[in-house]
Amino acid sequence: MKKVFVIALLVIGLGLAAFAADKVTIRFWTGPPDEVVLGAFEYFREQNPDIDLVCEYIPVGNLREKVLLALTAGEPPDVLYDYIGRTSAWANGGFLEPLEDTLTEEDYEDYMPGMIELNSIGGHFVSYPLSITFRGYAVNRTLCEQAGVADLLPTEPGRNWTFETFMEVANAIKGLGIYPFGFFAKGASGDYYMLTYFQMFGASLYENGDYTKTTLNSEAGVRALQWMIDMVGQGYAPKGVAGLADDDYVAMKVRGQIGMSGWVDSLEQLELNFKNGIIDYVPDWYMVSLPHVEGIPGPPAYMAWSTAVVFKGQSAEKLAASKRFARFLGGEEFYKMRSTPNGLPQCKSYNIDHLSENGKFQTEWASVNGVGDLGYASPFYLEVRDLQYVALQEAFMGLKRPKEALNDFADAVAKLWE
Amino acid sequence: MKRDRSAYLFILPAFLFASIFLFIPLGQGIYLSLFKAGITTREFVGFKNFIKMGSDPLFWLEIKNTFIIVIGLVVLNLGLSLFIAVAIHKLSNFLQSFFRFAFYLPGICAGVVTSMVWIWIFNPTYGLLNYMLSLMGIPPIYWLSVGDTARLAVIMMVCTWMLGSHIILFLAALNAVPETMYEAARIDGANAVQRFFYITIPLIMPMTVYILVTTTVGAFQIWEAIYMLTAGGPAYATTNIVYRVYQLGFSYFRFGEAAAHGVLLLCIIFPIAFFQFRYLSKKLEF
Repeated sequence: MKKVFVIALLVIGLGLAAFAADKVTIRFWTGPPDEVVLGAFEYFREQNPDIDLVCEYIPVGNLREKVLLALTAGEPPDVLYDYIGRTSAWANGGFLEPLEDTLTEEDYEDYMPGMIELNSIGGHFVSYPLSITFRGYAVNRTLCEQAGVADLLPTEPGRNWTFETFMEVANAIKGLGIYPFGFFAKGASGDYYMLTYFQMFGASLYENGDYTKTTLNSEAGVRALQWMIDMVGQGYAPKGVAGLADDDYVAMKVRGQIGMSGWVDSLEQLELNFKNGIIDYVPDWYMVSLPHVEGIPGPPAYMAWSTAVVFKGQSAEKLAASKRFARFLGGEEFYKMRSTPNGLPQCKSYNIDHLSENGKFQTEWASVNGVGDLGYASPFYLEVRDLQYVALQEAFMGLKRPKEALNDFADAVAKLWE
Repeated sequence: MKRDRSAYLFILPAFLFASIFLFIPLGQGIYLSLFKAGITTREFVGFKNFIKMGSDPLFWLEIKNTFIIVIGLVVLNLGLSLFIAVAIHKLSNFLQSFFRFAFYLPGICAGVVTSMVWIWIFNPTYGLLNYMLSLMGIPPIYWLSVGDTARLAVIMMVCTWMLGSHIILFLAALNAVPETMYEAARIDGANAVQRFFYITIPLIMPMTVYILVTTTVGAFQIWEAIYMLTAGGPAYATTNIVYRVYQLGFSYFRFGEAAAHGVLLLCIIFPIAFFQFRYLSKKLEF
């Protein structure tokens, strides 16, 4: 009897071991997820019983340092879901697996214009984009109605308007005793917002994916920066730009102290904050195309997104499982599961019926004009961002003239490559 | 001889702890400064990191900022904590406890939380400080937008973190001064100012030196406040050596260069702390 019991235990043990051996375990790191995302992970487990998905949730603020330490210890996660500005550093360090073998020809056509290039580093597609947020331009329509200029806002499908009309609206908002717009340069965070004002004048941080030199010091760039400084001087924007951060700016925005804005926060979050009593004002923000000076074509859409990436150093079997999971994160199924009224799709073919009026407009803008290059793929992405805000500070503080500040910035960027 | 040996045994745990968490990392940091080190790569470059550091246009600026912040913080913190301690040490136990608690509170809050509060306080548009100034008819000050006021803001914020523990230490020292000495001085005709400078100050000197050294060393190592409050700006006005170490190491992954800056900091702090202990301790009177 005792022997039978021992044999039965052995058989069960071996059976379990065999079952476990069939499963490939992958370690996945990301920030703390919400219930919808947790449900999506559970769904993936059910659909892929051969994969044992082990998730580790790390506070977003520590994720970068944690991955850095794991890399130095030679034990990175298999799959990571994190912001492009951070994962691009791992790609530039050569730690990420190329993923182009998972892309089909349809994928190349389907991604938003520029998206494949901006997720490619060292000639390889290394990250699936997802969780996209838009950095366009929005107008507080409630204030415009109060100022009697709501009818000046563009309504045609492209929502295009001229710089002159834009300034007419700005003047009307200023007449209400409210800043039409605001600038900030305390830190790198929110840099895309400041870059939208350069875009209005036709200047961009980089051109043609050449990260070895910035084009922000072009004639258009100098004009844009001078215009911003003038606007502060004339009371169109709050003073003290060098000491204001994007958070200060958002706080002013939700208080209705600023009328027009580069989009730096999500409507859903504002609405949620309103419901929870954190704020008492949800403006009717209306997305528009960037007003641009005469002769400037419609600018590409500045976007920020998270990525799903796969680290090198895995066995073939594990790698296949990791890629399958990363592909799931970057695919339509996951997009649908966690989509919100302003959660933009990475591909043109995705169904966007659930998107808000603004969300649909943003998707259309990105589909037509493509995704703007904020330099995520540059190996000096963070250095350039840091240099950029210092240049803006110097100009806004009057320590340097706009041309000098931007030229010094361009020189410093070039020096990084020496 | 036997007694000596047992003494070594007593300090062994502390020595092991210090070796693992202080001396070995310190040695590794110095060693790392001789390499061009990335996340997983290392190439021996000798003193090139130090040469590069010296030729960096930010080098002298970060040293200047470091010393301005250190001097400002040490003077403000030492002066203010002594002043407050002297002011409250004659109060009742209950009031002393209340003030100790009140001043200690910022020190036990997470730095990030208090930083967020200070960011709000310094905000030029809706901040508390400018609101209070406006009540006195003073126009708004752009605290974090001008180099001098940004440095002052950093000093003020860190001072509130340090103040509480230093007040408690000064209070302990003040309460330890024998009352008989004051009585004798009074009989000899010494006024309050004379009693303070000729009795109180000399007798609390050991504590003053301790606070001076720890504040100085702590002030050299300020990072969190700068990271949260000013991000090293405006225009590098608050970029100190430690902030640069963080930037080079954890933002740009240039660990060798970051280590070189760390060695520089060591070379600055060590002689200053040594000087403070060695020469100021000589004048201690008990």
